[in-house]
Amino acid sequence: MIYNPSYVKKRKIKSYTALFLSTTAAFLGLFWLGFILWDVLRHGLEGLNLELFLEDPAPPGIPGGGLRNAFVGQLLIVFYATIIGVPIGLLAGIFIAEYARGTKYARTISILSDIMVSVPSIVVGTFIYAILVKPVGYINWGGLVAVGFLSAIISVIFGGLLSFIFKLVFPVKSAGAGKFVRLLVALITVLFGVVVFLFLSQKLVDKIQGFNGWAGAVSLAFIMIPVVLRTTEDMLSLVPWTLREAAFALGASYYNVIKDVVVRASITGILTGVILSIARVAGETAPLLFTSFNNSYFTTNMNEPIASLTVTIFNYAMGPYEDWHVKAWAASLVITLFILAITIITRTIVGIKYKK
Amino acid sequence: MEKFLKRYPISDLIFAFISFSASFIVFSLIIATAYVLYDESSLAMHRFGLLNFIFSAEWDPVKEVFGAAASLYGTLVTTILSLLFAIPVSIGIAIFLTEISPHILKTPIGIAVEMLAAIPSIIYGMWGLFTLAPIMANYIEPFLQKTLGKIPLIGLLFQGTPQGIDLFTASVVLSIMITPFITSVARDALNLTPDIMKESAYALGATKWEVVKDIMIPYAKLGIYGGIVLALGRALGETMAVAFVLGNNHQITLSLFEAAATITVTLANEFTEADTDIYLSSLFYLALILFTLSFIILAIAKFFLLKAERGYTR
Amino acid sequence: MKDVEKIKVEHLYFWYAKSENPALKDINMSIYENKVTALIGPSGCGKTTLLRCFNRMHDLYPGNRYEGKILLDNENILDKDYDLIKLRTKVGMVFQKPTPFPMSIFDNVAYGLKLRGINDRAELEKRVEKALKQAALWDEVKDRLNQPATGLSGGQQQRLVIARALAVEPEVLLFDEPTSALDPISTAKIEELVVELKKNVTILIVTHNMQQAARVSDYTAFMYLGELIEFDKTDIIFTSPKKKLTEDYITGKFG
Repeated sequence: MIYNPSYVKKRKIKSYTALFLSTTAAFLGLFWLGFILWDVLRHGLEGLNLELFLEDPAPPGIPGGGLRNAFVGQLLIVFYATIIGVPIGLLAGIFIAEYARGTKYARTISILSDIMVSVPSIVVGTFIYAILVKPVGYINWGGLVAVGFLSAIISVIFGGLLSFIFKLVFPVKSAGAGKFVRLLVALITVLFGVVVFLFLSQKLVDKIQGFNGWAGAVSLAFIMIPVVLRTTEDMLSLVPWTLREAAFALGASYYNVIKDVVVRASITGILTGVILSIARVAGETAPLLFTSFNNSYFTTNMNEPIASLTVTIFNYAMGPYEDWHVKAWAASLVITLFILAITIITRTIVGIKYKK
Repeated sequence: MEKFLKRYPISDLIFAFISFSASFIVFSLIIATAYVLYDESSLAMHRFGLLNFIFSAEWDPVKEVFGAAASLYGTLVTTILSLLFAIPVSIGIAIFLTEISPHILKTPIGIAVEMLAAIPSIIYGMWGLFTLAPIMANYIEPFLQKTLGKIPLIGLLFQGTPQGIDLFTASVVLSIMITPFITSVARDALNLTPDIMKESAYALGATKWEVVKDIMIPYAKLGIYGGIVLALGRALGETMAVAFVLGNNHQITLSLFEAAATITVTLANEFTEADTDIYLSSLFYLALILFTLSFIILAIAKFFLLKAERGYTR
Repeated sequence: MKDVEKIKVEHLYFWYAKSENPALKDINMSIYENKVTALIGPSGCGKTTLLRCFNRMHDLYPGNRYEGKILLDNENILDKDYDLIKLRTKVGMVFQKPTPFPMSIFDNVAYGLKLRGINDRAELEKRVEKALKQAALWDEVKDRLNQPATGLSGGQQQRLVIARALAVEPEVLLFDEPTSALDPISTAKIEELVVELKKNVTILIVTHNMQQAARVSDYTAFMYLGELIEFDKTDIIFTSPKKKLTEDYITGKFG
């Protein structure tokens, strides 16, 4: 036996020291979190009142007023970002987890979206600026593409609703009639899509001049897509393959298997991913700085520059007025509480649902 | 794919096509970003060239002369410094969470780390500007000047009047921001060390620290590298947390107590003010450089993490 | 020559964390110096649990608790003040799966020595070579000592782990089903090794394979549901057990 008590003592002291330092690190982390949260709470409560939500800003330097324009603008931008980003992310996630499962293409997309999640958000802003804000006076290709996506998504949702209504109103008995109804729905949907596209392009593309709300929504959607894609992919791949086989064995098509079995089995996880992606973009500032820009007036017109909470916080915090700083803190508090609440709730749901 | 075509009805084809298009958007967005940034910056590229642009520190909108050196320098310094601060702390937290923490503390501290990651960067910026910067200017920076500042050579890093709005404060804020990223990846990696491996080391008479240092960390090495490179990518591209506390001053200084600029801060502050084509194009050029750098770094991170994953499943 | 007692277990009880029922109930037995003692019994009978008491592996997980005594050289190792590092220097362990550390073959064997402060290169080389020879692995690895240990075959890895345990010159060696993950040829080699090693160390081996116990051990303990049913010389256990339960198990009526 090789045993040297004094050397063992030395090693033990070394071990305790290292473990003590690790523990200190953990408490340092807790300390920062507590410090930041406490500070946001302390300063934020000062400016938190009903006016903040209900009134528009007073002219610079004059105390009073609120940030109604920014709250509404933020909601609109995030709402449209969700409408654009979530369907794309969801569908893409379904494609690479199901139809393209295990292929090189799926792996590439999956890795690319992991990278895309972490692409500096300000770079996203410059990209969207170049395609949706800068082009003034000539054909707005970026705008047309964006409107194209938007109308495609709207018409797909419309088509889904339509076929649902058809199913309710005319319950189909024979296979031939079913085919006919589907063909009809598809035709109406395509027509509807074209009309929507023409309408929107008339309405939007020409009117968009410089900074606009759509650009902000699209840049947030850019960030949401990979987040939704990856969570959808992960959640779908948790569904055991045997479940799909069981459905295939009943003669279901892959589309039906996905719709009725796979997605249904993983719906909690997918929704959690969607909500988390909203939390992720709700606090984004950099991509909005030169897309939706800012607007000190209340507007719901997405063709114009539109205020957002985060950009307002940035401008107010960097501004010279004490009243602005108070409002910036209050807005920070609202955003922080919103995001932390979402994060904690969804984590808890996931924790309960997917624990072992 | 062929067997699908034979076996599956039209609804499948339509759905597969729609979902394929959606997945292709991810691909096209990345390509489009690279192309558009390249296209927009071509003016500056022709005027200044690559090396000239990167190595020139002059940034003068009036004379229309632009160089990226100052912004690149600021990006480099804040990134490296924040990693230096964040790596030991986050690995410490990861070790605490995997090996030391009693079971009841694991979840709350784990959640706290996730909350740190979820707080938007603008909040870090606000807090850095209004709370941390005064503390830095009044206490920490004078203290550092009195102690480390007295050492020759190293002292050069701590010169000037402490203002709190400088490279040092920005790096501290950044390091707090990236800590949770390294921590959660490192924790997951450390957790993958098989129990039987740890037990074998304990059975040889190793102390807890020796098990962590000799067995768990080598095991988790790739994962930890991946986490660090990931955090590097984050720090590089972070805008708001830095924009509040860096001051946007295009200069290269040895002292950490001076205002400076990073690529992201320059973009955030000047993009909407760019009134000439060459100015805007130079900003796009900066964005292109940042995009390329972070793309490469994130690809490296992904490489490490994938390799780590494969190593564990073997 | 009478067998010398190395370890004496007295009224040992053991509880896993959060469990009301003891996993080990009133174990009393002796382990004799330079003999191989086998622990057998159906899975879940507590044989591995008992083995892990001898180097207090259970202490790694909070909430586990012991009662009773295990005397090693007349010192109670369950005593709160007993130094675990000293215990684990005296008592080595080999696990059911090979556990090469993520380092070279040489460093694996030298690891325990380095922990104990031996850093002299010549001294390390001498001891590593000796341990590898004892584990009958030297000839197979002497040309690639600096390659990663994970490149070895399963059987070689297990012998490497044995060499690693031997390098620090333990007095007792615990084997926890050391061959359960190995092929028959590697198993035979390990068994040969175990018999060879008892010249120098006292060995305890847990096995679910009764033939293995019969082949390698001098003493055998049969356990069932956390209790020690019968403990005696191996030939007695396998030819004329005193308890009906032991006989049933040996003859394959259950288990």
